[in-house]
Amino acid sequence: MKDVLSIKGLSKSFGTQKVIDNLDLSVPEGTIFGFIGQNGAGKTTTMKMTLGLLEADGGEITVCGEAVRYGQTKNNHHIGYLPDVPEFYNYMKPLEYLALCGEIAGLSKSNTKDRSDELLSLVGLNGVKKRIGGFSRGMKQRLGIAQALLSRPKLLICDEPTSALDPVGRKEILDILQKIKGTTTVIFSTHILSDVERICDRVAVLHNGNIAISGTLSEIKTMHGKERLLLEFSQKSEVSQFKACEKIKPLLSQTEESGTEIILQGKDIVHIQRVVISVLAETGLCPSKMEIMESSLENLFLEVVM
Amino acid sequence: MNTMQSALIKKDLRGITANKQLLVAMISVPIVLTVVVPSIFIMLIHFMPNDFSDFDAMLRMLPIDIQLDNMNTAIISLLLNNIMPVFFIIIPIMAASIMAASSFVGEKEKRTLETLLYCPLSLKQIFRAKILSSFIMSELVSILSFTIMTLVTQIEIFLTTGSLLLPNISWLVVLLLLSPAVSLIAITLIVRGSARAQTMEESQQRSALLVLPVIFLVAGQFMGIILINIWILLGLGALLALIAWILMNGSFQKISYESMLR
Ligand SMILES: Nc1ncnc2c1ncn2[C@@H]1O[C@H](COP(=O)(O)OP(=O)(O)OP(=O)(O)O)[C@@H](O)[C@H]1O
Ligand SMILES: [Mg+2]
Repeated sequence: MKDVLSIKGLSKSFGTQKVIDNLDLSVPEGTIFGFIGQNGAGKTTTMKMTLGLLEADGGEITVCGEAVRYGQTKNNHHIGYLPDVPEFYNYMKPLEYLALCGEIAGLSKSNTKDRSDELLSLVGLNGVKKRIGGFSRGMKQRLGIAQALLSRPKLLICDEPTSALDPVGRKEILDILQKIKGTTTVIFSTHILSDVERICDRVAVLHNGNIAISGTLSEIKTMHGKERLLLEFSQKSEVSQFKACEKIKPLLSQTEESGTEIILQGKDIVHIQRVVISVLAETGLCPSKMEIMESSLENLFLEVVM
Repeated sequence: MNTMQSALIKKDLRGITANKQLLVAMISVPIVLTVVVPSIFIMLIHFMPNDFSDFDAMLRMLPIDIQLDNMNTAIISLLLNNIMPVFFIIIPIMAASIMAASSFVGEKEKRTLETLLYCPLSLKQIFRAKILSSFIMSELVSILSFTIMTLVTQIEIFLTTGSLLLPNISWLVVLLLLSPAVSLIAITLIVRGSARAQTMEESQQRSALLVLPVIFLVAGQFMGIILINIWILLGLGALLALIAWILMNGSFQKISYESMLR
């Protein structure tokens, strides 16, 4: 798979604050790429550098094989961009706005018209005759996607497209992104991890200016995730009795305990399971519940960031 | 100018007509200055000619080259050819400032500029288009105002004096040199300030300062201190055009993507 976007050794400071520090990132063609980071991690900054709107202090960015240079927006016909808070000319209607964008991007009138109709129905705004001033945030976000896709970019960069939306609005955006997956590579930044788990093939977590973890979702989970085994007893005394057993003691280094519950974790979950079952058999204890908890992205994220 | 830039210009011009408040300012100020003020003046002269004896001193200094049958015509000529041109410095400053403030700072403030910045046009091309749209707007307002003023005052003059009193040659210098030059200066000041200014009002106030020297000019005219003849006008126009040119080229160095995105 070819990389649509590749970033090498990127750095950026604002004054004395180092926001991006030697960042490496590559986004293979055809993926939906989740770019995860806390508020202020530098997601928007990285995206603006990719668009040539911010000057990097060092490093290289290539989009579709072409180097990005600050102040040169010519390459941006490869990239569609949806800003975090897309704003439009409130007095325009959606078709009119897309016509303007088409003209500015140098598309032909008839091409723009066909593409606009196609895109407005993709984002569910076809037949909307209202002025943009009366749009909800979700509608603006969807119009923003249509605008970003107008000149058939190879890469769509969305800056937190779902953060300000309610669950319905979020699902609409995610569905649209899923629909365009075949033709356009999508990068979207977010801190809503359930959205990432829903549609992303690959993720990268931005922390302290560089990528703390990256890979496909399942890779990350097996590489970094610790699986957890939850046991629930009916009485607190049973928990102490369980813990008192010699065989279980080596596994107790990372347990979480609350009330009658105890959670064991470690790299080798099968080993933990075996030990626990034999301990239970020896002591005759019978838990009321025993289950393997899948590691969530949320846990992973917190582990990286905290 | 390519088609992408003309799309931007069309959009800017359309944007101002979509904003009721700005449009009202853009229309009402010129109408008051170029229609209401001279009409009142002409009517006053017609109905109460004796109150204008104060103008005697000023009239005697006029380099009068037309045949004046009477005092009234002289006063009207003074009004038409020496006082009204000053308004054609104020009007382009106002029109250009409103337009430029809305097209540069207003778009930055409303964050619609971001979309324009990452389009395939270069920053310079975007700014050229925007400067041009402000310039077109201010020229349009000036020329329309001149046309309407001339029509209305000529009719009034004809009705009150029985003959016409056409504008003299200095109008050509005012309309073709002076008012384009001051409107360019006003636009450039706003463009230069646009990286720093966060709101439209803030940047309009800056260029309102430009009107100050004009007010001195008007006061000077009335007191008979400076009487502007065509050569002074030409010199002044050329100087202003030069300043506008230098300021405009310098302003391209002051703007960058980073400063416009803040
Ligand atoms: N123009 C600027 N001047 C100074 N500091 C800036 C500028 N832009 C961003 N920063 C700082 O850089 C850091 C990263 O900002 P950035 O907007 O990239 O974060 P983000 O990951 O997009 O966060 P969020 O989730 O809040 O959108 C922040 O601490 C911010 O204060
Ligand atoms: Mg951001």
